[in-house]
Amino acid sequence: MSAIRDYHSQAMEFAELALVARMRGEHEHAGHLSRQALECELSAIGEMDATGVIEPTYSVLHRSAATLALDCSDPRSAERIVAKALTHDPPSEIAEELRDLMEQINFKRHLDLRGLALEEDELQMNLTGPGVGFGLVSSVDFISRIENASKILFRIVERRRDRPFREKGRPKKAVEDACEVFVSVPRAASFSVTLKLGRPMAQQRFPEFSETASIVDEFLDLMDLANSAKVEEIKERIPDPAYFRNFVALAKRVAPDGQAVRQVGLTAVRSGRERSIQLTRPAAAFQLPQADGQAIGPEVVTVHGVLRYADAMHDEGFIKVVEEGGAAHTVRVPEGMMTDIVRPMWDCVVSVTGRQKGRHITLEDIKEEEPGAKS
Amino acid sequence: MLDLSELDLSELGVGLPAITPAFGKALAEAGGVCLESQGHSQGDLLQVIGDYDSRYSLAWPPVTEQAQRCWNDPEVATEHGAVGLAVLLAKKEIGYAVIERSRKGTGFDYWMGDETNVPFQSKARLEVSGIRCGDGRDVSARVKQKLRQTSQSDGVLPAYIVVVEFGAPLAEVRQK
Repeated sequence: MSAIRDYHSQAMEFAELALVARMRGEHEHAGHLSRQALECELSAIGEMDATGVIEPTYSVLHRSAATLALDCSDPRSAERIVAKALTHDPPSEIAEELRDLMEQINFKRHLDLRGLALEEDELQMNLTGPGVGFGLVSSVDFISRIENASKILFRIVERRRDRPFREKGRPKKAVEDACEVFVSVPRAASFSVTLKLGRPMAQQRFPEFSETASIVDEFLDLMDLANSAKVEEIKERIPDPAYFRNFVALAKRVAPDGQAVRQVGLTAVRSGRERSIQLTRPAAAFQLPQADGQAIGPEVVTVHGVLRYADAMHDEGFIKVVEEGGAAHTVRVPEGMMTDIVRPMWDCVVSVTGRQKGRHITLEDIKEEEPGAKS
Repeated sequence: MLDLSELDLSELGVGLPAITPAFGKALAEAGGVCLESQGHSQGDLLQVIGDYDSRYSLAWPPVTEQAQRCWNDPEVATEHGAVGLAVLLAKKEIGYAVIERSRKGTGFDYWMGDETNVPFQSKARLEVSGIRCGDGRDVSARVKQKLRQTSQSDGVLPAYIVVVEFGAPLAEVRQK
């Protein structure tokens, strides 16, 4: 029995070293260490297979080995290890964790294009989670993410063309032509679609085509940074506060909700190689920047009610949230939020979180609620 | 004068039964990065709430530029910094050393108890969660979420939950 402990201890020492190496950016070395860790963990499992299964040890070792297999980019081995553990009788918590792991493994499989050719101006969006069936998804979960991804793409083009942030109206036709999003027929891989950027005619013109590919690249870079909460790096790439705030708010709406949708995958092809981003950070973890950029400000308040226009023309940049009983709160909307985030919710029941200063609240976040709901 | 115990993250650098010195140093670095990112200085107090009520004077190894670069992913840094503090708190507050770990998610899953021949037998899990900057409500919400997860899965494995918030800083410790 002590051989199980010895192999497992060695596995964890290699795994720790792999994690430290990965943190230091030594990815190749980290890969070798993870592989050694996996081999040791499989030896520990082999010992237990020979001597008799004891829980929770057996299932914990399998969960650990499957995670190490994923570290080694070996989803097939991970799948076999999880499946084997689940055929036994793991404690319910570990069984649940093994199923979560299987979900991750399947997600990696769905990110693969499986022979589907993507052009440079295309990307695949894939949704997985308890609310996503094989080829089926709630239209709200799907359409809102496509719409918000499209808005991010439009804003990337406008920012690249040095346009001041557009607080109202539609994008100019040239911008729409460059990156209007066309959606393919969905595929049954959890739920996958291809997003094609730019009008078909515009794609014939070579300069537009190459710009579109680099827009896709920037979109993937920014979404990857948002998923890793690398706020400072996003700021370096989007120094304009209105564009920055707009991006964070839209990225939050593309991110998984952590319930119906647990992961959102984005895949593109560059120089014949697939590049995949897995968005796993739940939307609730995204913090929108304060309007005045200060770290500590007035008290945070949340109000619920129907979103209405402010009454007078001079109140541009302000909205009203009218509670069920008729009480109205005036809310100042900072730059970057009105057109893409707030306006689609007119006349809806919303909850607004912000900082109360004087007679108005400065908006930090807004979300649509079911009528009558207060969370 | 109030007698305060010290919680020194540098202690992790000598290693623990389930943590090698190299990884212990990395956890200590992550904790230091998180604490300094919130403007804390050596000797600032960590408030422990929940099933325990105590305060500790915090210390950590100097945060180098290399450490900052290493831990530039805030979520990973927060997760590992929280583990560093939780492992030390487990020993001081719960009275158990962390003696096992297994690979899970983006890090490890830790287990406390006495050493046995077969790993993970008669052990309590240590479930750690980190919040870089929040308030008491965020910490309570995270603890509740962890407790809900257990009731959903009807778990039989005993566990302690430690949620660390680096802004205050604050740690809530609860037994499941």
